[in-house]
Amino acid sequence: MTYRSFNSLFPFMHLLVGREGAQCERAIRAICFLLYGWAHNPGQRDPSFDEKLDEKEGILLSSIAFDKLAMFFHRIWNELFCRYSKKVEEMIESREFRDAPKMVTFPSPFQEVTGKHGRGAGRFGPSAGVAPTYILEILYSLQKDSTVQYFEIFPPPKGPDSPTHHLSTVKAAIEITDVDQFLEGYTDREIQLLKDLENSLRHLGGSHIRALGTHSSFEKTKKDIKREFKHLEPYRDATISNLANGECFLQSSYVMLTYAQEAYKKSKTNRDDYQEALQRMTNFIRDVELKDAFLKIQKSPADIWNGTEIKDLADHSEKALALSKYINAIAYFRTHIAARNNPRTKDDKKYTHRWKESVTKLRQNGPRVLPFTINGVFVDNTAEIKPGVRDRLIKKLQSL
Amino acid sequence: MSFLLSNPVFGLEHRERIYDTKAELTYSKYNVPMIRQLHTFLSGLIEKWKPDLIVVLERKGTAVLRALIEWEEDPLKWSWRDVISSQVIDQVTNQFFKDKRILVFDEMMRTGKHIREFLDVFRERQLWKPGDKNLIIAAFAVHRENSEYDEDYGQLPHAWFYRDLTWRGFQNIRLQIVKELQDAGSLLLDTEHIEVRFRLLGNFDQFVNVLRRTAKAVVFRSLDNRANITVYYEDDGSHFLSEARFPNGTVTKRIVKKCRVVQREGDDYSIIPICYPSILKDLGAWPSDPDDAHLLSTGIENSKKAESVIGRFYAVGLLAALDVLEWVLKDLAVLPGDKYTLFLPVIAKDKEPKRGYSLGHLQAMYPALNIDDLVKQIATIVKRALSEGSSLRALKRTQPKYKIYSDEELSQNAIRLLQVIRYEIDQQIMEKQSFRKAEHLPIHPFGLRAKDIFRIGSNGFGWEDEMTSSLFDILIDGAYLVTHVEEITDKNGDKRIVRTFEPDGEIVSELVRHYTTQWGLPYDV
Repeated sequence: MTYRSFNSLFPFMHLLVGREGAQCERAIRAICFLLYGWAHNPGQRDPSFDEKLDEKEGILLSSIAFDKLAMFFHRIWNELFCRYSKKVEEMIESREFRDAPKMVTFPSPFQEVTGKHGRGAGRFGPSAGVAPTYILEILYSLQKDSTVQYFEIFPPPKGPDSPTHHLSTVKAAIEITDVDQFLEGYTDREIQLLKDLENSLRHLGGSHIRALGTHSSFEKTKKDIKREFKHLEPYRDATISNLANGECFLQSSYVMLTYAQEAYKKSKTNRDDYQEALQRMTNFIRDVELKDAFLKIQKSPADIWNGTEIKDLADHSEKALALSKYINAIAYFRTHIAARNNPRTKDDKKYTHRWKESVTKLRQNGPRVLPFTINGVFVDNTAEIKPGVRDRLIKKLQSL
Repeated sequence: MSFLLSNPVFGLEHRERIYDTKAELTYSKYNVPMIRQLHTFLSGLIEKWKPDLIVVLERKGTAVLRALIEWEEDPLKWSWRDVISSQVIDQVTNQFFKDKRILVFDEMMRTGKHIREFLDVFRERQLWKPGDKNLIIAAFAVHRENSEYDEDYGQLPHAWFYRDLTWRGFQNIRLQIVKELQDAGSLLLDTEHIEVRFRLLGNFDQFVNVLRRTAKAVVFRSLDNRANITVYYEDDGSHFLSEARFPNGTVTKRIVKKCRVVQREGDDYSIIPICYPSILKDLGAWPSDPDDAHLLSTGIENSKKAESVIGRFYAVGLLAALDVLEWVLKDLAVLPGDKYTLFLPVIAKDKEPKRGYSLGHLQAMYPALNIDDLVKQIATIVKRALSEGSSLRALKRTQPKYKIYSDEELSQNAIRLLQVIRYEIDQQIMEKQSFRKAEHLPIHPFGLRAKDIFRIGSNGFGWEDEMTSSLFDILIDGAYLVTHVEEITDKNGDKRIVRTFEPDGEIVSELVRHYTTQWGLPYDV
């Protein structure tokens, strides 16, 4: 979007005139519309991991999936706006608004901001160095202020008061009883597009939405996977250091695991959900322009995952995940000696399962250099890891 | 301690009302030009407090001072010998400041961070402590964010013209100052670049065509309707810098390497060569050439200390600019002699020149520079360039193809580039923050290098490099983009000192972010 900028004294002066907040409100309301339709009119879809049925609140979308829904909206809406931006510019300059109903008149007010596990819709500022705010944080602060409440965000009951926590969930806070009234203020074209989008998204499960928002192109997916590995490194180094010094490495190995898990998801397991999401959206989108825009921004699964680079990254992340699980399980059993042979609590069983999963993968992935029984890791019934095993673990970690 | 307080021409409250309105930029109902207000402020301080030295906080502080000193209507009576930029105080010893009354001037003060950073440096050098009476801080316009008393620094500033300004009022005054500087020719107020003036007696297009013989030239009109030419030099066989003159390890490719030609009045123009090679942080002994050592004088002696990296960076830039000057003069000399008249800067001696122009303003950035030596070197270059250039006149040369860019296209692209620069910097800062704790934020400044921005232009937008180069100029002239000198670690692990660029302060940055919020990032990036 451009203006005859430097011929006026200050190119940003028009920011002060009339549009403050309007754009953000429109975008947030549009996402609310999509979420409401998705939750209240489920199409052909099965329940999935990223959604939760609450007796009182209805179907809730996980915070991560919501973040990706916002990301998807950001992408598709920007692509649509781009097709009209020149006309919008001409319209504003000529002050002839009669064609406005036929246009998409605003882009997404958010930016693509790199987050902990990939890109999210957010905003930088107010000054450099201040952490960006993501859409969930923006919405949660609006919710707390009761300023504009289009969404209700539920942080985990026993967790921190954080809208971005992975156990947080989101629902549309408004009952949309009259769609036309709810979408008042949008142009006719925008309403058409929003309705078609809403109708198509209903057929996606929470995991499909998450995959659609996470992935869009080979380049971005590759960058995102590599970023997971980059983030993993400090925790790997901390794990190595703690292992070498005989200190606890439960936390560092856990964080390492989460990054390895994300890398693996992005490089491999997300493909199925993405493929399904793409297929369903393509089947259900009716509007020609919307479909064209959709297929432009969301590349095919083959484009994203078929190349050797992603395959190599997938192999690497699979190994990293197996090793991370292995080490994380060891970290737990280091201090839960009785659980090694007799898992009783929920955590004991969780880590036993983790151990078994990791051993299965490690067996598949190469020669046996690490013990495949938990007792083979430790010196008798102590917390001490056998020196040879410790050294081999460190070596394995260093090769990640 | 009682301080000299501002004595504004009009009541502060009245001003606040005017500047707080949501409106297009307007002058006060008394219609006092900003330059007069600035003049009143500074001249009043000089008269009452009688400083011996003015330290200007970069970057607009220096430009404002130069605008006032060169203001035809009522020039501020102050010598450049008694001015130093805050950026280069490490180039001079404590003796330079000893027993002097020091006025530290900044045109705008929001949080006061830059002023406090400056005072920290002075405090470390035992040149200042809170309560000292030999130093005052003068800020023309002060944001209300800076009204708190600070125990470490005392009440800052000590003198002001506008105070307790709201965000909008602060913005409006900044705009007025920027406009004033633009009217005076922005780059023409710089104090770090060599300048050679000429009068064009022939056709402007003919002049631009000779520049295009060996370089890429982009013409645009700035806000005050001045003709500007960005002459962009590629890394080709004709435009290698004299690397033997530079320290070992100096990088001269994909750097700022250009010439600005800016219209002054009528047919008068300034040629301003600009070139900033990147240098290694650890230089060792330099320069080796005795003429260069004499030119750069004792500044370089001081520069051998680790902390004078900025001084060395600018010194190398100054020498590199002399090469660029020769290239552009050689091209100019292809014009018949009756089509232009060159004016060389005068040798300053002890007085400011009454006629012609001097390069005395360079002392603000190069306090130990031997200005007379520089003028003589320029004269030698001019002679050589004219001689070589005129011999090229007879050569038939196919004019290389070039693109013409309209002012509208350039100004539209400048905003798009600014948006992406801000976005990229925000992303990079965030990436760095991800790998550190929140308190270890990247140190200000934090900008993009020239080659990063050229990459955005070519890979992101598909622009030619000369277009991107001209956009730098448009953005800097408009005070949207500011330059810095930063230390980076290159891919070999060496620490280098490079020129970087970032949006000018949080006012511009936040407005760019708002703009991006409202209109989206340029889609084709």
